[in-house]
Amino acid sequence: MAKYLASRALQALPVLLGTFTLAFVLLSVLPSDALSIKLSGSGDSALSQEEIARLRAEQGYDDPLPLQYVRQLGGLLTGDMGVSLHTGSPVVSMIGSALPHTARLAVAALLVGVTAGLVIGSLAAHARSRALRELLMSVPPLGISFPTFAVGLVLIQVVSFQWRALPSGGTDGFESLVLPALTLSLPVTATVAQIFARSLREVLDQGYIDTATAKGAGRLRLHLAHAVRNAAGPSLTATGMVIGNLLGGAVVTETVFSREGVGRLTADAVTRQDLPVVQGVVLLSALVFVVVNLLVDLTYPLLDRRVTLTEATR
Amino acid sequence: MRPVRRPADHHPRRRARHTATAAVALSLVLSLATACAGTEDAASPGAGGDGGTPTAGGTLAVGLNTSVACVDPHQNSSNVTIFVARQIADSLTDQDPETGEITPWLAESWESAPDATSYTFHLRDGVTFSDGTPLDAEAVAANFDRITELGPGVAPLASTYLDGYTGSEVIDPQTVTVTFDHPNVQFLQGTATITLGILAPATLALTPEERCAGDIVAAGPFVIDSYEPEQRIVLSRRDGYDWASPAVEHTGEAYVETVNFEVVPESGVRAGQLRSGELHIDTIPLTEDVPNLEASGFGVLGRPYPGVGVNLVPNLERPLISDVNVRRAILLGADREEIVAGVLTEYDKVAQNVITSATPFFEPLDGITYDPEQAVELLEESGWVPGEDGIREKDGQRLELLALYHAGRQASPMMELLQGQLREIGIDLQIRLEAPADLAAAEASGEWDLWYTPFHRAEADAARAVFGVTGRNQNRAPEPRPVDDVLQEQSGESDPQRRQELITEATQELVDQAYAIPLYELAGVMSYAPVVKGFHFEASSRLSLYDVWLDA
Repeated sequence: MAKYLASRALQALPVLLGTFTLAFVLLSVLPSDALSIKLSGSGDSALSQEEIARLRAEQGYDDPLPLQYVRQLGGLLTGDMGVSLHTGSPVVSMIGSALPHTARLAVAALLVGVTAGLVIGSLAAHARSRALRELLMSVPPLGISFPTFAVGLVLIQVVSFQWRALPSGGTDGFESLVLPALTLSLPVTATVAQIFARSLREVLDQGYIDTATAKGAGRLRLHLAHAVRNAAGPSLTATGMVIGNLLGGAVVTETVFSREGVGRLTADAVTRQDLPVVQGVVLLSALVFVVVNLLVDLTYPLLDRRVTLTEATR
Repeated sequence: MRPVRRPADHHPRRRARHTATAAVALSLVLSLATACAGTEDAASPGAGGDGGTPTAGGTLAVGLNTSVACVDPHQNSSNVTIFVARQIADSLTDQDPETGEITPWLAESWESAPDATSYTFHLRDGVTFSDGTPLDAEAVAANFDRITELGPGVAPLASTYLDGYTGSEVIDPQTVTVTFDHPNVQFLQGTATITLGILAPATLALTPEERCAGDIVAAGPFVIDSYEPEQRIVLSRRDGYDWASPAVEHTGEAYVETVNFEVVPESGVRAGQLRSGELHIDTIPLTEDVPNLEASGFGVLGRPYPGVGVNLVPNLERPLISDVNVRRAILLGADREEIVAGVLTEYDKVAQNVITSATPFFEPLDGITYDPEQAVELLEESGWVPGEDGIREKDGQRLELLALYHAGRQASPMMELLQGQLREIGIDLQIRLEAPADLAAAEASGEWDLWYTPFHRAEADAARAVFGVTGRNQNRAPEPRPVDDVLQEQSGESDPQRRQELITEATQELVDQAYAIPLYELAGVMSYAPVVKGFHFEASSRLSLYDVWLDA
């Protein structure tokens, strides 16, 4: 097990380094840099072009790119991702304070989304009436075609402003978590329901299910004890991918619901072209993908005994 | 110290006009908002102006559209920073929003050297920072010294105000003399802005990062209570505050007890929260929401930003636009009335000068008119004749000009409308919206014919800062022009009457040569709930909460 984990960690390194390098290249081909943006600000400061050029040179923006790359990479290895160009606080601590809020939101969205997805998927797979099955199966495509921001805005208008049932935004306690979690869970529900229903149907068509039926297993027992476990694999993989995408969904959801978090941090950093923060967020999402993939692979053998970890390292 | 209302003879309070406007086509979200919550607060149509005796107390919720990246006014001059910092820090002087006159505040009086190279301020007695330390000459000197030490890389706008600063001399505890190595006439108005707000020496000793993160002690009517820049900044009223500027309406402490600045990025949500009572003031409502809010009893406060209004600035390095006839044709071909009536609010005004009517030394100029016939004549005079598609041509070259602009309120619809207007006279105006991130590089490249530039500053020197060769030289003039001498001369002229003449002469020349193509005066517009009373702007058309009270 330890050997497996070590080899996976080693595999993660090139992924992270590649992400870092790609982000660096992309950010450096942008026509402008954070300093010029900060100085031009809202257009109110009247510094001349010469003065801006002098400051740029002074702060190392004119150094050759390889030098800037090595400097940043060196910082990263010592756990220093630089400081925000707008607040001056270290990127690591900015992400550190935003991450718990997003994690809470993502976990809530995931719980709601996976549960709802499994339930809808099961009902669709077991539905005897063709019409009901068609109806249930059309829920996922519908859910995934609603843009998150529109769903969020409608929820706010109805639930917060019309019914006054829940706050329209903020990061204060459980109440403020409900609507954003629902909004963010929609694509999760849709993905899980779609994939789970399909694999469940495939499993239900297999011979061992007939055997179990012949031995007198009831529908519920059939479902829980025989089918779910074997059908869950693809959904687990899909959920892993969805977790990575939740970070992207958080950008929209956190903005619409005025929530604190990594999504808002990203949106602000991109608008202000706060390059160190953008860089940090990109690395964070790469790390999340790597970790989630590892967790999914570790969970697989628990679900399906045919899978062993040595196979996964191939 | 109880809040005391000033006698009524002070300048009349602006009353928001409430015009019932026909419903416009609304987005899905907006109509939902209207249907859901639009009617219940509509009972008091005349809300927001005078009426009633101010009552102290209550919590005021103010909506911001973006998180406050840095709350230190010396370092950051974005709108949200100004909105928050203005409430917690006072300045040496204030500025009357009506007249633009510089009035006393922390300085009871001041003298300036005839050549504007030094200023002596006599400070008010008994002013303390909220940490209890006295606001004296040492503290003022420390503020200016520290800004200069931070330099333009950290404190860009404040450094511009202190251009040529050589030092501050403490004459006695209440007297300080600030000197410059060349005439700096715009400094005095700078002292009225929050950008040169006076911070406590203990705050100045902190690192710029600590100050950004909310560690600010100053002498204003509010103090920072809690600071979560992504979510909410809470201010509480400062007990014992008794040095309000004469430019505001009352003396003593502020009325409201607590101010919550709430960060709500989505404009539709801010509008809904205003209607549902969660917010009292929305600092940046959507332009298209304004008539609807007014019609349903909400207050709207609007006033042009002082400084250089929305002008298009020609790039003299580019061949086509360096022809004065082409520049003047654009000046005459723009229908300003249609622009303001078509895509802006009733608070935005047609331009009458390069600088706006809210700027001191503003005078209406001649020649900023809509005259397409004359525009066509000028173009023909320069040999531009209509081509096949209606766009003029000369020697096989089309009259195609590229205008760059950035996201300002209603900037895109305005530019599209202008594009249509200029097409009428045969000019093909190409417009390109630049993201904030790309703006500086696009400007530096010089690959543009016209630049869109509002420059907010309650000082006529803004014209020099933007157009002068000693300023930003937005025209990219290769060598000083006659107008540059006049612009330079006004910046060293301390006699107001002479300065008025010079400023009018310089701005008229900018228009005659069409170095500036004035379009309109962009207004700061905010919406507020009917319970909000006594709400007015400060001289820079930004948020001032000292006089605000809640009519519970």
